[in-house]
Amino acid sequence: MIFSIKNKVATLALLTFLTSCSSDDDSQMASGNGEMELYFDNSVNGDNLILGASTYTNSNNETLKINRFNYIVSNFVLIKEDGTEVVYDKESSYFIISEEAQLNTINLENIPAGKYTKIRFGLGVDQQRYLQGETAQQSFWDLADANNMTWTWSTGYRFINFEGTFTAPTLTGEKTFQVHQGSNTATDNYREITVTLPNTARVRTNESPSVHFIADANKILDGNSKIKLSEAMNLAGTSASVMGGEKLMTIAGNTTSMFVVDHVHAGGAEH
Amino acid sequence: MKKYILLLLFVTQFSGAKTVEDTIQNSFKSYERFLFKYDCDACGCSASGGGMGFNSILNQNFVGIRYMNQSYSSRDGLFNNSPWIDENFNTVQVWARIPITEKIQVSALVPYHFHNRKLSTGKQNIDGLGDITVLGFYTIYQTKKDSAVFTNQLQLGGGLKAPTGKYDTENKGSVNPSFQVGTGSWDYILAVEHTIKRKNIGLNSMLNYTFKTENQDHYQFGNQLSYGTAVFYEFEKESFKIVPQAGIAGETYATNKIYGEDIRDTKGDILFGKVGVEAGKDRFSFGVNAMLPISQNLTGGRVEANYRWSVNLNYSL
Repeated sequence: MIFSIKNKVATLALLTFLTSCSSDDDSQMASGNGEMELYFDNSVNGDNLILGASTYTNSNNETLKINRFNYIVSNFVLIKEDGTEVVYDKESSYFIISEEAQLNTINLENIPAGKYTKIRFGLGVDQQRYLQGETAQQSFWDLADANNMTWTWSTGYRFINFEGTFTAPTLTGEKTFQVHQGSNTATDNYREITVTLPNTARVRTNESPSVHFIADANKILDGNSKIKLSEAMNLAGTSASVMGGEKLMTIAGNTTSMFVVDHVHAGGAEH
Repeated sequence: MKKYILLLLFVTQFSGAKTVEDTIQNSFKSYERFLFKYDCDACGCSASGGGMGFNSILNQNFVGIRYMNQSYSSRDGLFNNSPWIDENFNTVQVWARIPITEKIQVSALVPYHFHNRKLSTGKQNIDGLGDITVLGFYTIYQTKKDSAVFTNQLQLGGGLKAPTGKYDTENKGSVNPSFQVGTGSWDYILAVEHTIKRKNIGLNSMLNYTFKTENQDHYQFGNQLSYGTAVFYEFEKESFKIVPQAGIAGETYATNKIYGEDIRDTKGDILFGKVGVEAGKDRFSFGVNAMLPISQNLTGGRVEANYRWSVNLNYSL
């Protein structure tokens, strides 16, 4: 009796051990196309960005309250673990992220099945696309226009629209600020940014991973290089505006470290 | 006896868990911020009986029922200014330690979980049968002589945790994966228990290690080490016995994995102080236990354990 119990326990243990060791489908060649979701979570210096509410003080000792944070991301390239690059269809590769309009999610479709470990994308609109002219990109131009992301056609797109109010030690009272990033005839301020994913994004016909980006608005003025709003005041001393000149090149440099990927959700793994 | 254990194991495979959400609108985005950051297996469905062990000091062999409550605070988001929310993990557990021979015992834990938490979007509940654990213990050493100053008992155990609790695939990607009633995996457990006694005073220590395997979603909770030691004293009068006890208990969790890749900020450790008392009369005994954290570092500081407590009623075999 005793012996048979021991045997049964051992058998049960062994059986469950064996049944649990099923292999996954990694060894098989994945084929077909799937989707990938990109989610842009806007933040400011480690805090969740809440428009019109959160104030924070940057390393320039200026205290900002942000009322608008919109930007254009474009030209997505998904990079596999072996270095293979999948270039997303250029015609469909321009998107607006807007905190006020709650545009945070991008859905990339027809992505070849694979394991993606890096993503490269542009902040803004590249010259090549811009020079194709207005009619070639009318629908995106209209969308950008509706989200305060354009000047006139001749002056082009705003890549970043960052607005709010601020106080500074050298100024009395609260002032408004407007930071409008873009390219102009003098400089091309479109930048490419490459982010490394903390976990592989597995795309399968039935698995759509979601990549969770965090964008840090603080990096615009307080990145590797510093821009003081108090040094960009208008003549009346009521408002700071950063819309041209050298400062846009500084911002372009800062924004290359504005994005990180916090995590990747695996997609539905139902088989 | 053996049949009952097997029966329990297999019958319960067929019962499920269900999730209830009070929210009308499933606000995906705010749940979405929960994710993988939060979950070590500290909370929902660990095999160690919430760090409270498999044994009773009062009775070597028993069947009983135990209620455990675990309170956690978790950050509802990824940011420094994200709000903290309360999470409550409740478990009612049928537990038993059944003698098979003089040296062999079988320990079984059959839990039913009912957990809840208050998200910014509404209250969320999950309940259902949890993962059943079955362990065999073998007594390696037992002091035989009544005249010995110290009596020692050393037991080695091994067993498994079956995925009888439902690991809800629907929850994945929208809520904290550890807010589950089961890990969805077959896990393997090694355990050591030691008791040393001199007259009425004693020291009870345990250590167990759980090897966790990948579940059907290719998610793998990190391996877990649990340990604890407590001093106890036996007050005895006729058929009545009271055993107060005090000590520490700790847990460490290895990094969770998905498709074999490490997931950041999922490892952790915690050390508790614990006090308890067991009272027995004839074949019945009653126990109360409370645990408060002394130090902790769970999931990058985004989950904090507040306390754990339990009550149990046992019938000595």
